[in-house]
Amino acid sequence: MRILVVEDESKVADALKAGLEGEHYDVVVSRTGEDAFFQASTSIFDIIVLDWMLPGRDGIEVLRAVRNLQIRIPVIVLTARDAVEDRVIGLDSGADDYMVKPFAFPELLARIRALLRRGRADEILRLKIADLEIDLIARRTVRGNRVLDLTPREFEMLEYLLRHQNHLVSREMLARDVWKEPSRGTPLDNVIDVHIARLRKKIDQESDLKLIHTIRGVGFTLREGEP
Amino acid sequence: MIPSKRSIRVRLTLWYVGTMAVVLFVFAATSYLVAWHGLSNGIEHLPLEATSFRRSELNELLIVLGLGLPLALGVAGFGGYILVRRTLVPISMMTDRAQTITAENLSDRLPVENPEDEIGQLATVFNQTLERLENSFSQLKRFTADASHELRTPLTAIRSVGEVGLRERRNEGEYRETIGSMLEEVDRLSHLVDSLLTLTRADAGHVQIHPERVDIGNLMQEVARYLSALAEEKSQTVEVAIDSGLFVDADRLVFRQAIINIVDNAIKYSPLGAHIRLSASRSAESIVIEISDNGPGIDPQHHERIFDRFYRVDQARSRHLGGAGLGLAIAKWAVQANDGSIELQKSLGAGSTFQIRLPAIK
Repeated sequence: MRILVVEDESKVADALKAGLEGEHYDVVVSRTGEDAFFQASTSIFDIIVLDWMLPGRDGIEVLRAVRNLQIRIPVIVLTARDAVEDRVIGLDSGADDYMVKPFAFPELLARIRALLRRGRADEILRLKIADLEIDLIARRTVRGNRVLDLTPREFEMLEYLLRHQNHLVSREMLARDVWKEPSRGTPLDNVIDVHIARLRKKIDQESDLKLIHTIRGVGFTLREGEP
Repeated sequence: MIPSKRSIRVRLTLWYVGTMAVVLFVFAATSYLVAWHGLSNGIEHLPLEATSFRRSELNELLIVLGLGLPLALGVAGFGGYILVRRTLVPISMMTDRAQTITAENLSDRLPVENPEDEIGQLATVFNQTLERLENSFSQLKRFTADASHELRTPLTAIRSVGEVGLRERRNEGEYRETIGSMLEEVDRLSHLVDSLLTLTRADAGHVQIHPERVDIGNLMQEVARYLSALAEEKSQTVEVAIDSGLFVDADRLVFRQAIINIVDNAIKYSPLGAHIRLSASRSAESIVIEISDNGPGIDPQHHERIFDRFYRVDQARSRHLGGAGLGLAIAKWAVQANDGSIELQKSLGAGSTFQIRLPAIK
């Protein structure tokens, strides 16, 4: 999988490159709009991570030019501009997703995975890790031979964690995707922590193998064994 | 009207001299005509000497008038000039003073010589404008200073945690802790910047309000459900007592933010087992929403400033609970942006009650 990262801030670009390579993606970094356009129009990528604010030709111009060439690669736009109008401009110019800086790296990974998965039939009816299994149709949760009684919210959280198992999930991702909270200004972190604590109690308390792990400063992850 | 290049002083003087010239000329002409008429009427009955005497008198009058007129005009012009100058002195003083007023000394005021006359009124109005400017400026300055201070706190934490972390070799777990702790502060910074941006946009009028018909009961239930987990953790109860059929015209998201911030505060600052009550009813043309708790209440000395940005009732405690002191400021803006008003009710006993009023729709 090849990713083109277009970012002029070298620290951010380097961190993105290192992080994405750690996930076994092939990464090409481009630091100007001109170079980005050149790269995108001459070689093949599976996804483009594009900064909006670039010296010279900005990200949106590059995006429009790329789309004018009928190149349909998924594009995630990164930007410090978070007004609704900016979002609309970004998506109207042909972006597939839009992330506001400062963003959480696990979230970028999740969105890249989602875009790469897109279009493929997603007919999973059961999700499973170790001896924990959920049935998405019956909305039933089983750990070992115990049937767990989860609230609808807890079930949705668990489903989300299972879909991202072995990956980090930030509070922001949960707020947006599970709580459907549109604004970042809402104080949800405490609410999420409380729900995670309850979910953890139901899932892990009576098992030796702990599945939900808290990663300080980042969020949570569902996996077998220590993160 | 075409603006004149001459100063008001010169213009007024010229007008004055011009008017005087006309008046004096008319006066001189009239007196000459009267004298001449008197002479020609009685001239045939007089002896010759008398007639020539009268004629020379008439000529003298002509000379006196001819010389006196310009002289009188000169004196009038000079007097007029002095008069106009004196009248305009306060204006040039105002000009001089106004030129020295900048952002740094906005507390300066223009001199008001006589508050009753037109110039005095002008100066007074100008001074009132200056006062409003001074107030906005000092608010802005305080906001910037407070914001920098608030930004510095997490920055300091990030810096010292990082520096201490690097001082000696540590094991992986310890490094993870260090980095995690730094990331927590980064989160705090991000939240703070988000809140600041919300307020700055609000100040600049850049927030688009999209009013829609909002069912208050529905909204309050949603917020209560949303935050109920937090209340349960503290064994608090949240009661929703709302008449049905209450609707307002508001931007749902923006208004919801206000309610969430207030209810979140109520849960945060009320003790274990407290009771929080959300109620709403219709009163004449407005919808009155009340959010009350039976906690310790807020000391009256804080009432006036409770909605101010960065104002905290208990500095250390709020900071520990993660607040930056912007929640209520944002709530106030969010309510006002929807044409409502918010206030903290004067409470007699324990507990505090926030009351929001919004215009009702049918």
